[in-house]
Amino acid sequence: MPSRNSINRPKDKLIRNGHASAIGKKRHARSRLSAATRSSTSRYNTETSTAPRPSESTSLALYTGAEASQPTGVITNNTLSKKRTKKIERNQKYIERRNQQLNIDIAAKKESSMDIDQETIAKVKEASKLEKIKQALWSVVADGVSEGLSLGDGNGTTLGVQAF
Amino acid sequence: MELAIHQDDVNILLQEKNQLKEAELEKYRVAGQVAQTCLQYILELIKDSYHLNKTPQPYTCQELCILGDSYLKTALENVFKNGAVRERGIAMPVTIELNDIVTGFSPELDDSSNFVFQAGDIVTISLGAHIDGYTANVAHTVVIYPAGNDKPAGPLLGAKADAICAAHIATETVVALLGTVLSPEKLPKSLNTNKVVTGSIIRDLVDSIAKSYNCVVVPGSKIRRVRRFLAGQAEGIVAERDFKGVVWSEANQEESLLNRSSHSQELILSDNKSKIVKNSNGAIPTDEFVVLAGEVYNVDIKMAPLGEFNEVGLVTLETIDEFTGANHKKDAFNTKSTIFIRDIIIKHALKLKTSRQLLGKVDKQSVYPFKLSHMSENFPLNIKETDQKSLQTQISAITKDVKANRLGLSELNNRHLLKQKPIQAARFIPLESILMTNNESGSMGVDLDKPVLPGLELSLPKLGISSLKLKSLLKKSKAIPVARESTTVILIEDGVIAGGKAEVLRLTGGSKNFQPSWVHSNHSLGGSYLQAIAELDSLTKDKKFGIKIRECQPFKVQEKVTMQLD
Repeated sequence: MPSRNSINRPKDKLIRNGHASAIGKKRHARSRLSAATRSSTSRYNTETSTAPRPSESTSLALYTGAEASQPTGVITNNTLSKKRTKKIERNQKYIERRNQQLNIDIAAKKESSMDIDQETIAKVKEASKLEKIKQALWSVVADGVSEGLSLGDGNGTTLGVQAF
Repeated sequence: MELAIHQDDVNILLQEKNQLKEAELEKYRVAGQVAQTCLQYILELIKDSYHLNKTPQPYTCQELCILGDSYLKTALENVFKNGAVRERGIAMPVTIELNDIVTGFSPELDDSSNFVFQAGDIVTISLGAHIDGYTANVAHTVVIYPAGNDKPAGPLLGAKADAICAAHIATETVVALLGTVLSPEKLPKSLNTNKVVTGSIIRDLVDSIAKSYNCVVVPGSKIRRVRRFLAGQAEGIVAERDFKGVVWSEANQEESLLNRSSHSQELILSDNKSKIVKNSNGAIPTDEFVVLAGEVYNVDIKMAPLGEFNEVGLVTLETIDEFTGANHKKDAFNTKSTIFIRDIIIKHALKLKTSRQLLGKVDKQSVYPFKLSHMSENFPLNIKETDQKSLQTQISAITKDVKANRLGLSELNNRHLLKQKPIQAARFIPLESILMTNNESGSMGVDLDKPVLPGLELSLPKLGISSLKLKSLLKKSKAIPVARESTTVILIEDGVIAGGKAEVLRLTGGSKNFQPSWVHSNHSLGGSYLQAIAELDSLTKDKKFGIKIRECQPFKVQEKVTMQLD
């Protein structure tokens, strides 16, 4: 690229580059300033501390202590009242009991109905070719162990003569 | 990388020079004779020192190797003296493999370990000679019996005997089967072959023999076509065009294990379809070839017995070097590779004077593998010299040269101008540990130390286990003995020799010259190919209506060499 002092300097390009870098710097500074949110980080990112979504319950987070493990830099003054604590505890007890009942129902349904077996078979992934070959060879290993030693018909073969 | 060679030269080198006529046959025959004589010489040495106790101390491996190499070299210098051929030399240095070692073990003179054999060991001697590139390779497995007066007290029994039986019978059967190419009407009907011998028939036949003796064909066994300068010596370094041959690898064992499982037919069938590859230049071995008359084949079969193992598993090869296991496995066998081959594609400006000198000698020698002791001025030993003292001085002179050349060798090796031939040992890995392993990297790793033919890089293609992964599984493996028989045969067409009929010329090996050692196996031949094998056997014995197989005879040896080196 020609230098800044050359006769044919690309003035427009220089200005554009300068502008782009300037706003880039600003954007970077802004993003550093604000706390990371779920949407600003990767989907599978569970490690980094992200700010809670507005829809998430603050009181529940306070109760479970999830907030404490996520140092977002934001200090909260919210406190959890005794009444609300009791309410959360009671609700969790109910949820646990309901889930138990649901599990029992599912198990009962599995036992009573016949078409469940077929469903599970359909769900098993089609074995790959390598797996098939491995399976075939494993069957050879199993057979070989039970096969044992096979001796000839008793006559055998003799080669050579009695001489060095 | 590919060398640029004009198509006319390619035609001359690959086609013209491989058409068998009187002159070519003569070269093959003499190479075969030399190899036979040398094998006989080494067997005599072993017999004298281990069985008959004629020497105060038994010969070590080092001594047997240098004596064999010297014998080979001297014998080769005495043939085609008039300059009729450009080059003649050792195609494969003498290697002496004990029990579980499969290839490449040929200790150098400066190795101070005492490599001797014990009674009950099986020892494979392999070597090769070439004249003008026409190569004859041979390998033969013998048993070391307890020393006695004139004959062994009893045959070798057990798993090792199974392997020796299987290797011997498989080799003889394949030679007979190759022989039927000359008269296809004699092919046994039970083979259902459409009057041609294909790779897949050869494979099935050998596999069935291995199975009836409870053996496994060791990876690296092959029955392949030999052409001028192409006898498999540079495998894994140079890809060979139009490779023709049956090659056994771990993948075949994987497939046969899958075959044993009841619900695997669809898996195998669907895979075989996808395996057909469009290979450029035919460097990838397939079984879909037809054996033709006028070709030369090398039959190299290695068998490993499963009798000692009560579980299912794979037999694979471990490369032995001086590093692996040196720290944590005190009883592990560690040794350096001693056989090298020049990678002629690679060029490099060398720094050391010694390495430049060594490279000069190597390049002058040939494209065949060599040992450092062959590069000495004092090689070959004058083995006719029965004076112990003079031999001792000759050997110490070679040892001195070897030590001097080591420095140059390391630079050549580091710059990849030379490749070392690995020392490989057979190992049995339980299938369970292969299936249990966690194969995260998949099929991507390649063990570069292990020379393989193109297309066979992935060890277990169905399980997706690479050679590198298999190498890491070797820590759960056990040693397994191996018996090996290798022989080279020529299928001579009608009318090539003046007035001669079609016949099989067996350059090396053969049960007439090298009878199998006295062994007894509890197993006997069986399986669906039993009838075909019996028919092939009777064909070789039938003088009138059978297949004519001639064996190269070793030279008449003038005097017995009896000496003690140290």
